[in-house]
Amino acid sequence: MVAAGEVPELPREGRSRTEWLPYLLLAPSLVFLGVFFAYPLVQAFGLSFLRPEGGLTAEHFRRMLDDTYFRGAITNSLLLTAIVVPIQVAIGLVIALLVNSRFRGHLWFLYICAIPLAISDLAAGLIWLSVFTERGYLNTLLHLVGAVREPMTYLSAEQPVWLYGAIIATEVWRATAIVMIILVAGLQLIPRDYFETADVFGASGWRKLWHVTLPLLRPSLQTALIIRTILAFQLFATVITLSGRQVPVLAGEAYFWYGLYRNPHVASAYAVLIMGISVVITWVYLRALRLREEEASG
Amino acid sequence: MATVLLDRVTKRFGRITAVDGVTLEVQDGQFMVLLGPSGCGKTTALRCVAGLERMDAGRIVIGGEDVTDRQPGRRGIAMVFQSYAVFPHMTVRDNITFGLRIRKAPAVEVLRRTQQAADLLQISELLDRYPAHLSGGQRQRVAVARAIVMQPAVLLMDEPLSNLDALLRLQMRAELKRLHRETGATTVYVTHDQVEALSLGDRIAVMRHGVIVQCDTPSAIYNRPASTFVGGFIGSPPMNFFRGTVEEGGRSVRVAGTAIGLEPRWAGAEGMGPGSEVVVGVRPEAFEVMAEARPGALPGVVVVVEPLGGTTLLTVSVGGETAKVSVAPDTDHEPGQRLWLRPLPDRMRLMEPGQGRALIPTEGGAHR
Ligand SMILES: Nc1ncnc2c1ncn2[C@@H]1O[C@H](COP(=O)(O)OP(=O)(O)O)[C@@H](O)[C@H]1O
Ligand SMILES: [Mg+2]
Repeated sequence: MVAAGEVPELPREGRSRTEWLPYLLLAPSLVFLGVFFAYPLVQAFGLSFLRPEGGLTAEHFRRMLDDTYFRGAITNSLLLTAIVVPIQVAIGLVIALLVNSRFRGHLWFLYICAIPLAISDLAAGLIWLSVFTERGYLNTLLHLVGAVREPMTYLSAEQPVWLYGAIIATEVWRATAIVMIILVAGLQLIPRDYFETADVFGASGWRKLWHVTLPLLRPSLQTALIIRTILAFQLFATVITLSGRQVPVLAGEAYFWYGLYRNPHVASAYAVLIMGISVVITWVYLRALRLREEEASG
Repeated sequence: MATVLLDRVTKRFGRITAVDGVTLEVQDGQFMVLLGPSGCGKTTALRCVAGLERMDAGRIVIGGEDVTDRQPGRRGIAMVFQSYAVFPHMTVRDNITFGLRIRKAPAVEVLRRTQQAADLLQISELLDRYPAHLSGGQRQRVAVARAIVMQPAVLLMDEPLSNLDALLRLQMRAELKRLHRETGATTVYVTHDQVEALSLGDRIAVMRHGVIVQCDTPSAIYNRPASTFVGGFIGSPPMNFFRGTVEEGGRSVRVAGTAIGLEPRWAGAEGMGPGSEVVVGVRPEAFEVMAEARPGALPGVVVVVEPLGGTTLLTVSVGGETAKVSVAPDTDHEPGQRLWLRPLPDRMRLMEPGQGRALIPTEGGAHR
């Protein structure tokens, strides 16, 4: 007999199965993250803080800070991120809004805009290198229309505007698509009733954008910003392809220290620095764009 | 001031015709209910009035002006969506004032009208809360307040009570009725719930397959359904239908071997020729229940007895068909009991068996 209001106990097996199922389902992801992220992370920390013969040291970080390329690398990484990410988010948002307006052929537009997603950063660098190099498409074109007589050199430290411009253009072309995809998905998650309510009240397109679309899109904007910013600090293949080491960046230095100087300790110090910066910036985004607790659901 | 006219409105979605040449006139201040089963085109019809759907044919006229080509915001309407669509990122106050701010109403006016709407819906204490902290019923009130604060000439509501639990629905239903009395806005209200329609509507337009099959007062819809569909859709339990044959030149109808006398007005009506097949419609409460055989009474056997408090519902087997009969709660009935049911002559409806259309008695006897 079961008294009113008392929940009968489930059979033992049933209970233990329902308790284990979620963990079982999580396990593959956890194993993946553990092997490919957590373990290398611990290893990087170890390499950057430990002496080869054992014991803690700040030596590797000191070497990193004293390196001639360090100032340039951190400046460039911060500068490129600060310029590239806002452009990507702005363009990604505009494209996402266009796609979401469902104009004729919007799906084709979406597919075409998404093509760069399938291209690796190295390949993207090479594509744009073929545009900006001395005998590249840009010079050929300018020569054809008679704008230049001699091929110009764009990708050199003497032409910093062109050099940075090429890097920025490549990064914007390559990685705006991921922002767009996140925002298109986010827009489709917003129930149509909100926009129609605004229509019935006679809201203009701008008012709908500012007072309805963007606030409701905030979680997706936040995701896109965090992902793009973190990835921007890992940027190096496109930069190296276009500039060699003329524009040093943090991830590139990690690569050079590991591959060129065969010093995994200083390379790891760079990696740890990149992670530290990423953590801080993510935290700032989460604070700044935080949904007030009151509006969290519903 | 603000009548609403749907003039031969048609709306197709690909090969589906959601609304099929609907014409409907709503008087100023009237509470019009669009009632019908799910998928019959009620929401689409309402959205055509709001201007949220581009129609394939027809006109919408509001307050005498053709608004067919006007944006939703320029039609003098306000709307409550089934999902409420209360903006989650705005406080209740900002939600309510959303429309007024767009219209650039003066601050004093905004304040006054917000307070008034909030009072009317008893949500004054919630003005600074966010929707996530409100119950479903409270959000619903916010959605209604946001609409009526605009003092719209026409208020459109799409199943506003369908997401509430039964008790709250009952309470809100009465509130909506009071609200309509106090604001006087012409209202078009969509529901699939016939009880809601009967209790709220000045007029009910019953829809099926994109067409209005009957538009009338609740009592006319209930007592004189235009077809077996309307009789079967409205009323809980629905109308009983029996197959019968016309006899004595339309003075009686034979059902399950029993001749039931008809009112004289049926004699000579169309479809009432001798030997014609008809469907006899009788509401559950329109039987006289008798303990012994009488002329004109159908013999039956009680199958189920369901006391419902205010009434008792009997399921009675009558010549192979089942009938629902509602009787006074103090009567004694038990399963297996034999009884006789005499349909009250003035409450019988006769329909033709093909399409189920109601037959019209002669000399306008249908209008009591
Ligand atoms: N946006 C749409 N696209 C395609 N078909 C639709 C759309 N909206 C409604 N319909 C179809 O039109 C018919 C009527 O729908 P609706 O007006 O929502 O019915 P109701 O509100 O009476 O349940 C249904 O068959 C539905 O599937
Ligand atoms: Mg509907």
